[in-house]
Amino acid sequence: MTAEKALVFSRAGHVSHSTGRDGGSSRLVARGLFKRFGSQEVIAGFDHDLEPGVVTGLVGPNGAGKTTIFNLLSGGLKPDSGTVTFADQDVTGRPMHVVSRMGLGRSFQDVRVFPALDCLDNCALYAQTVRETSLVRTLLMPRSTARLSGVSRQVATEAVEFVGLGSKKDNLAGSLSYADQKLLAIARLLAIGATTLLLDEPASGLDRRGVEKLMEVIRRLRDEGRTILLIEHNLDVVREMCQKVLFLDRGRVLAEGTPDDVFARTELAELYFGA
Amino acid sequence: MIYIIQTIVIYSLTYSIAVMGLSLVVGYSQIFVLSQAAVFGVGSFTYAVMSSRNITSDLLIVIPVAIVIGGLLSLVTGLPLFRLGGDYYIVASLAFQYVIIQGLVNWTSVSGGPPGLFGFSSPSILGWNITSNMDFIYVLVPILVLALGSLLWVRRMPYGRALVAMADDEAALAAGGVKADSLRVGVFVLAGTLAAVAGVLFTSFLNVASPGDYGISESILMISMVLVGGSRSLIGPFIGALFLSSLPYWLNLVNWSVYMTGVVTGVLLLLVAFFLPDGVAGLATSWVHRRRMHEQSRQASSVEPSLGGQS
Amino acid sequence: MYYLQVLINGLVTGSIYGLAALGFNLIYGTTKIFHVAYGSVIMVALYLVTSISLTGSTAYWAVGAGLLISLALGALVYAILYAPLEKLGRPRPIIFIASLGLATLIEAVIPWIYSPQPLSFYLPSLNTVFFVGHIAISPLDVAAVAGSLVLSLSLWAIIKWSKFGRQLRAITSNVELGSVMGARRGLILGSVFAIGTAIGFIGLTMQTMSSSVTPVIDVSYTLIAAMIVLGGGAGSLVGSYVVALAWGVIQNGATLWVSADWASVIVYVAFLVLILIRPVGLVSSISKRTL
Repeated sequence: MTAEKALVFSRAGHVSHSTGRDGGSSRLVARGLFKRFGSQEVIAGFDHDLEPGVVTGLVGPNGAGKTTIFNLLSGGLKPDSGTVTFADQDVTGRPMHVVSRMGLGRSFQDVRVFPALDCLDNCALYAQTVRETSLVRTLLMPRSTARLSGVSRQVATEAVEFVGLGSKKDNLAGSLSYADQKLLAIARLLAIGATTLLLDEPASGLDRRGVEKLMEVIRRLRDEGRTILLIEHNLDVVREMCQKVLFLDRGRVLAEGTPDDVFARTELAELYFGA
Repeated sequence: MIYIIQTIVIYSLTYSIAVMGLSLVVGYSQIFVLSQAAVFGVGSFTYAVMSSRNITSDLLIVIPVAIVIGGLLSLVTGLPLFRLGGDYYIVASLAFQYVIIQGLVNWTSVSGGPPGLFGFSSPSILGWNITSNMDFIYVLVPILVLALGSLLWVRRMPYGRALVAMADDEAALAAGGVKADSLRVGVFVLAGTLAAVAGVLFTSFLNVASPGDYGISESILMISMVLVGGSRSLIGPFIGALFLSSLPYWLNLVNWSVYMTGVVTGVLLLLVAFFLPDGVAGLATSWVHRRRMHEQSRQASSVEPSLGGQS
Repeated sequence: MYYLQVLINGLVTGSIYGLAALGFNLIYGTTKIFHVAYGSVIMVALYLVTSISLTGSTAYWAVGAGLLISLALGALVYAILYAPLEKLGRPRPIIFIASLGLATLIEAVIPWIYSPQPLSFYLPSLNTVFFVGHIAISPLDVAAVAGSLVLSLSLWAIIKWSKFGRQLRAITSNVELGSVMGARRGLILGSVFAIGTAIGFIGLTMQTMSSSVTPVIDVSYTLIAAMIVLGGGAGSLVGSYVVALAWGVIQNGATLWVSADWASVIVYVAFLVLILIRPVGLVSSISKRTL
């Protein structure tokens, strides 16, 4: 049943590389990532094989390099050494727009929805294919572009409804509450057909009700078999959502295991909450 | 008097076509292009050369040729946008402007050198000779409607949606699988193509083409039309083109110096910078936008949020 | 010998361009304001003083007065145009629009008031050619080369060692949150505009002396300055000096061996190629700044 549901968001030819949710090939693997900015080593040897169909938490004190890891994994930022492979392809330092089309979606810490577009268009933008985005086709093949655009809007509608924003789909994203913008940011990733989602602090700045809505959405994504890597400071969310946690400090993974195991280690707690 | 009004209408319509696409470039990719007059001039010379060599004066043939030439030229001058932005592209576009027009001047066998080409046959469409001012208006209006229609279409389609998004946040656009650079070059080529078409119409009306008319100051005038009118709306360039292209005529009517055109343009640009960053049309659109935002945020707070979702 | 003459003429032209670029570089490198009206403001100073005198010993007084006027105009432009716009919080594209407006305004007003005919300072003592071997050199040539070298070096030294230079660099390294704030900041940026405009005035005056100018010189003057600065690497004095000299040499060489018509086209194309190969310019100071 879960596999059927997930397929709703993909379309023929859209997510060509991802057969991910049935296991196997859309694995995200990082090998020996190093990155320095100037004289400062931000990432010092990050190795990880993201477990498919599982929510993995990435925690650690501020400045540990969590967002940098996201930037390295999702494209755009080139590591000084090391490789990133996704769906058996080397994606190290490839542009973000290529990597995201392969089915590796990322959200941003500061949400970054497009305020001047409505909710549906925010998602439709992420759902639109390369062909639809061609200016030549738009002008010379108006009918087919309109048809393709209709398909993306369909995908977008389902994504918007999935996160519970169906009733607000015609509202400008800029007029949404912060909590709704955060949900919209996740809906966009569904619209692009992401099988692996990198979520950067989705719960930050939300009140209790917002956090609950968000956890509900993440839970359902997990049940569908999507792979999620989650940066989060709210440890309750991490404890409830994640089957696995990576503890990062100064660009290194210090510990790896179930949330209970990792949080039980006092030296990590000190690092996290200390001084 | 009627003749003057017709001429003003023809000028405004022609310049509207020439700067319509440019407004998308300035408005959405926030790039100042100071080479629009060069493409406009190349369009002009396409007609002048074809007509003076008796190849054809049929607009149905010349315009497609100008579209191809103008499109290719814009592609060449637009490709640097993959590497350059901001001030760098301003300077690069000025360099392109200079190189294209100076190249045209020097290529005397084609362009006729500094005096240019003049005295060729009047344009036609399938044997219908376009001679009177009204004829020109009949030709211009459908072309303008077609051009405007295409731009509105582009704005409504996924491409236009991506443009709006690009103006706000390029990184978030890339995360959505769309590369901003390609969008920028696309709009740029579209803008150049329209300018080339306008150039054909301009020269077929004036019956002269002289390279000196398509210099840097003309490019500055064209971008001023966009900036004064307002770059974020499609009505903006019309306002700008109508006012600035007809300005010399108004000044002539009251016997003011031709230099007043430059003075007024300069003062308008300064006023835009200080008081109207979105141009004249921006006044109206920002008001509408604010209203919509306002209403929706009121709505949003009154509607009971649904929990979970309806999957 | 022939080649040497071309080379020397090129270096002279390049030195004058170097002065044009030096003033622009000071302004652009410090304030990041793309001052399109740079050449236009300088042209105002030039035309104001040409009404005093164009020839004889009074012409020297005219040039001196022009120097003071350009200092004042530079500061004035900052005070009444850029400073208020920055205060309004206008982003850089909007500030560019204002600059474009000022340039357009000046370019209409000057030919309106003065005749659009070419004019030039004629100073026989500066233009009398003497020979070194077979190479013809005029005192003006020497003044151009020496002047651009001395001014570049002293500006470099001032930025590097003086208190003014230190505060300037503090502003440059962080335009928004510079440690130098308020009135002091305004004073420094105002002087940057004043000095930049004055240096540019020297360059344009030398160009007037070696050939002639018309009231549309401002756009190409700004454009050449801007191309040299971006081509050399914004903020890098060495880079823009090297590009300026190369520019002059290529232009003179191309004038002789190709044709005068194509010479500037060739240089402009060379600029486009350079900036596409190295978008940061010849000598990049940007990487240093971001770290």
